[in-house]
Amino acid sequence: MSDDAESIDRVLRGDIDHFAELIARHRHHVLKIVQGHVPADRVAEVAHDVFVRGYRSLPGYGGEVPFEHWLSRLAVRACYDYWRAKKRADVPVSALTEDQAGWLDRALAAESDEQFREQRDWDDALEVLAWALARLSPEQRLVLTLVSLEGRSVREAADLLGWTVVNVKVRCYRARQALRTLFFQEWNRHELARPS
Amino acid sequence: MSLHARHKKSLEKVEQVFAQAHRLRVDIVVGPDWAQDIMREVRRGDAEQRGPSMLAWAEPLVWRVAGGAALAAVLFAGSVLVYTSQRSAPVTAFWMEELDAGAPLPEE
Repeated sequence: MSDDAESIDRVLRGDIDHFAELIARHRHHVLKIVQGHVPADRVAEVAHDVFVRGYRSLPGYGGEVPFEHWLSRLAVRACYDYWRAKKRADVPVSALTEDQAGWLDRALAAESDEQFREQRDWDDALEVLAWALARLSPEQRLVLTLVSLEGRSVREAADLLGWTVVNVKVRCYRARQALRTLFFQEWNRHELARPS
Repeated sequence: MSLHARHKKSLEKVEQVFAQAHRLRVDIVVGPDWAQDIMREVRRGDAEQRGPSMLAWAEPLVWRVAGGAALAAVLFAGSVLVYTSQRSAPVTAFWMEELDAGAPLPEE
């Protein structure tokens, strides 16, 4: 019996303290997934929620997939729920700051790879990315993050999201198109605003 | 190169930079209290689930009554079967009389 299976068995027999072993073993994995989807200041809270959900759902874990994989699905689901709740709250999304717009402007106008490499600034890139993702639906941002940003296969993303492969492909395509349209619009806006 | 093709190429580069920036995110570190908080919530939830409810006394009673009711139903059904098999003729006659009690319809 694996370490996980043994801990799970003990937890299910009422020895709750063994759940702490599962947290210690998988916290890094869960935090890694969550931090790729939610803002840094909310990662601990969402990861906390993942483990609480994990405990509550433990009787339903049949061992068909490794425990870590099962937790990954819960983590992705918790991130999805986070964005859905945020969308419901209808938080207004602010416009790009001058610095961010400038970064996007330079990045999109870059002619060569060399030029582009010189321009990249990770913090600005992440800020612009966060700005763009905030304009997508929770489904689009989740699938785009898994496939385009994390480089997971469509099949893997489908498994984590509980969607069909076709559904993931379609949503991913639409999300990329939406993102491109956003950048084009922003770029054009700045092009027009620039003094000639 | 057309404007659209140039933009498309630029966008692909931007997407690559985003992917790289995403992978280079600094790992979030949580303190020891974080795991303890989870365990505290798990224990609290577990205690609430296992705690005595207002109708805890009724649960065994319901099961006992349900068992008794099922047994009574089986005994009743059995006795009806035995009764009807022994006196099928009178019972049939009784029902025939009940159902056939109406006057015949006048023929036109």
